[in-house]
Amino acid sequence: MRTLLALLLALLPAAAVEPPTVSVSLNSGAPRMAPGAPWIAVTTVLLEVDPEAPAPLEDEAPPALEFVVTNEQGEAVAADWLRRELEPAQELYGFREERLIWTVKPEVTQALPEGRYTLIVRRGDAQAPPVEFELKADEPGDRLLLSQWEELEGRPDAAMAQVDAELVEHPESVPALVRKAELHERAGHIDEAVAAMEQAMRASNSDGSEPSQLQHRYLELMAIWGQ
Amino acid sequence: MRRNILCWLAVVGASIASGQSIRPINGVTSWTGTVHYTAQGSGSQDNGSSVETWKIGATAHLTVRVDWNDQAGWYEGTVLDGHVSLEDRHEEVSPYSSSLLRTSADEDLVTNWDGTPRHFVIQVNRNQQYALLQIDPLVNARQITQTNSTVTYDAIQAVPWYNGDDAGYVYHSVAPGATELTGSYDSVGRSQYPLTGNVQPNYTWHVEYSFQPTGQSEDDEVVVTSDAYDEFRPQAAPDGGRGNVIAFKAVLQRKGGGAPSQKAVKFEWALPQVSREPGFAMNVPVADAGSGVDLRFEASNDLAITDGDGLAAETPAGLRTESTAAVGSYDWGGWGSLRVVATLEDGKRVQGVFVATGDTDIRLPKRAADSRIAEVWRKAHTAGSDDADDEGDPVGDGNPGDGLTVYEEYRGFLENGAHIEGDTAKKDYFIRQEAGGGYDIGVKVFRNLTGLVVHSRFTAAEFPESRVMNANYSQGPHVVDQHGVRIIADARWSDAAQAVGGPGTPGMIKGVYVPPMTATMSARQRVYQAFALAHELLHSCNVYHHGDHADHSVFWRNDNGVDTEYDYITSGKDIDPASGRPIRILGENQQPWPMPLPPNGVRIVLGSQQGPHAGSDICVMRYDVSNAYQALSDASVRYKVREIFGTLLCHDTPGTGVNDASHQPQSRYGDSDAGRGNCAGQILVNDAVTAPQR
Repeated sequence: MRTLLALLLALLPAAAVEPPTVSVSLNSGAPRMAPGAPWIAVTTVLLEVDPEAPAPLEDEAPPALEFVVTNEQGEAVAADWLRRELEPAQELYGFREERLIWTVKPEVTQALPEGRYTLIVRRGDAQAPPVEFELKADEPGDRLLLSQWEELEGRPDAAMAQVDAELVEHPESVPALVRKAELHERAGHIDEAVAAMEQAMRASNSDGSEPSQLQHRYLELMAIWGQ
Repeated sequence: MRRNILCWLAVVGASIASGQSIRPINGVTSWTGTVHYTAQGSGSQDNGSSVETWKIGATAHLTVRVDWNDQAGWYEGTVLDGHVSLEDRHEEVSPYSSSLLRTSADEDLVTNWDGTPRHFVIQVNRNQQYALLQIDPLVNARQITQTNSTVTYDAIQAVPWYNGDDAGYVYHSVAPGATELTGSYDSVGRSQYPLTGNVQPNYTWHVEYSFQPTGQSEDDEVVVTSDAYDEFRPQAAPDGGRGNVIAFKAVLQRKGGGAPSQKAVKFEWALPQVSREPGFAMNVPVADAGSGVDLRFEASNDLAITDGDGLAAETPAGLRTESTAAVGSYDWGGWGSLRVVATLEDGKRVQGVFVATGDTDIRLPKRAADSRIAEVWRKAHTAGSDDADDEGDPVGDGNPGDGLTVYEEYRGFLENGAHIEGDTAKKDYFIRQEAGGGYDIGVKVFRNLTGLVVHSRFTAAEFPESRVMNANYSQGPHVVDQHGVRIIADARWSDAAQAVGGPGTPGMIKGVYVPPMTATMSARQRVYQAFALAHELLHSCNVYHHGDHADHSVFWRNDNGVDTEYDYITSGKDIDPASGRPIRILGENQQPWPMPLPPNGVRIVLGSQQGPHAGSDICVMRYDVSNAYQALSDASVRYKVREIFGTLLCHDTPGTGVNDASHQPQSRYGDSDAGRGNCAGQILVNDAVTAPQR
């Protein structure tokens, strides 16, 4: 019986030991974007958990995330947020991270006037530090952002086309080469992924004074080859 | 002032010599009372190439007893209680430079700046007129010279706090038989700092005083009470508006209780000493913090505000025996003092006495005389004096403190719209996390590894451009500008995160730059980047790598059946064909590496002994990007390995795990280099300490 009880307790989610940390980033932290650019928001709810203590059984689901976008006048702006759940919550190193991706279509943002905006995300009593950004008509398009958008929309070829267009203009762009490797790896094209990462490392000006994240990614790819 | 005193002594001496009769006023041989001083002034001067602005604000009060000196023919005595708070600023700005001169004081006035009793005189002339004369006007003031943001001089000096010209010669008349000396007058003061052209800014001192015969029995008294006094801790609203309120009640009664002999025509409330700390917490607002009063009276139907700052209030016309005043708090660290005086039907003024303490000047909040911190807060916290900064947890490199005084921890900060206090038992650390929630886990890991109290939820409006988290100070105890650290996602740092300016204390860190964490990034990569952030944040409290002996980037390729190693001509770009040398690639089991090299070769990082991969292999400060190392016993042998990133913080220098001396076939990278390792013992967050280089 005691074994069964222990097993049941082990199956319960771990108890949170502090209030959740709610955060949001929009378009990878870009301070400016053009009307008509997609909005890709990543929300994270981070809980520190005590694996020794089982969580109390809750009757209610955790509070939903609430999105509010306001303009310079503090008026709420209509934005049709689409929730995209790519991964289940992960528990690691004593934390539980619930990560969600939300998007707003380009045709929705296209209708918004230029100006400053604020994105506020709440989850019950917890609120993420607000994200402030500006819509500017002459802001150049971000092809790597569009590449993410295309991938989220299920169009990997279009995602790669955006990266390739960026590389035509900036052949030594490390973020673009890393993105290219990422897309190739996800498609199972390891040779091409390694080649792109090789190019990224050649293009990098890192002086080795800090551990190279490109080298780390490269090693991950090489590990697939057993190296 | 010294010149004035000499002139006055000459006048008195001449009067005595001429045989004119100078005698005690209305026969009263001893007076006890209070004198209150207030001064405000500001202005500017445009010099063409620069603009000078000056501003002065001061309040002071003295409680004095003087006794008749028959031989000298005047009343003389000492100050029983008193306080002065002043700030005198002179700022000059040109297109090329700026400078700030500032004198400030927040001093008790019971003794002189040199510790001797503070003297006071009431001079009397043959017409039974009197004049008040301060003999000792010097106080210890803090003087600061700041040029283009660099403080070049910061010292304590004795300066005159009250240099009203000829104030001692303002004579006042008293009615025959009157048993009170009361009144007010203005005099001119001068700033410490002359403007260009030797123009000395003037301002007006307003002086109010009230003396009664010492020890003379009075029929009535004013007793003051407050139900909330013991629990009052000043607060402010999140937008800097009024936080909380404390009410005081003054009741006119016959001494010891019962109906008074007469009613009061008015009650006058005053806040003779009030702090004007910039902003309403240490970090907000981040600009234009101003210097408004931190405590002020709140108007009501029974109380009218009588000055622009809300520092004086009085009851409307009508006879009454009691009055209630509400004091609003607009700052989390405000302090001051309160008094109330009732004017009775016969004109006599009776000063209120606080029942809880017996004081006529009631300290706000309830606090020790030498402290600005509410007693109720002190009871709930273990904390030293207001200016102490001595936290020892975590111990780190042994330097105590986190750059914040106890007062600053008490006054606190605004973080994501909510007020927080610093931790007086543990070291605090401030972060503006601008890189997205994926990095939150890295911040939490950093917090858990270091034991620091990490505040990382500041909004843009709560984190100043200067990164100085305790920038809003004036009279409050301050030891150093303590900085926060910005975490910035920037694609230019796509290769490696970096604490630019580090290792060092937070003040040295220009920013912690990390690659943006995109929506489509894999979970595995996100976790790696989060730990990379923890690594960089440790550089931001002066923790170094385990060693600086450089690793080597090389290239391996199989040339005609021979595994060959090449050097790069330029780091990581083109290989040097002439550098090719045959190598043997083994696993750590001493067997040949089972996988052939890829046809196009492979990039390799050869980790070096006492390099950044050395030391404890579970430490987050250890590198993890080496994928081979050279055998110590045979220069042609390479051991192929895969490193794992550390998730803890080491407390020792010897190599552990794969770097342990007993590891086979050898310790991969050896012990931490001299002076490195024991990362937990390197932590230093206090910007007041010069960060040691290791």
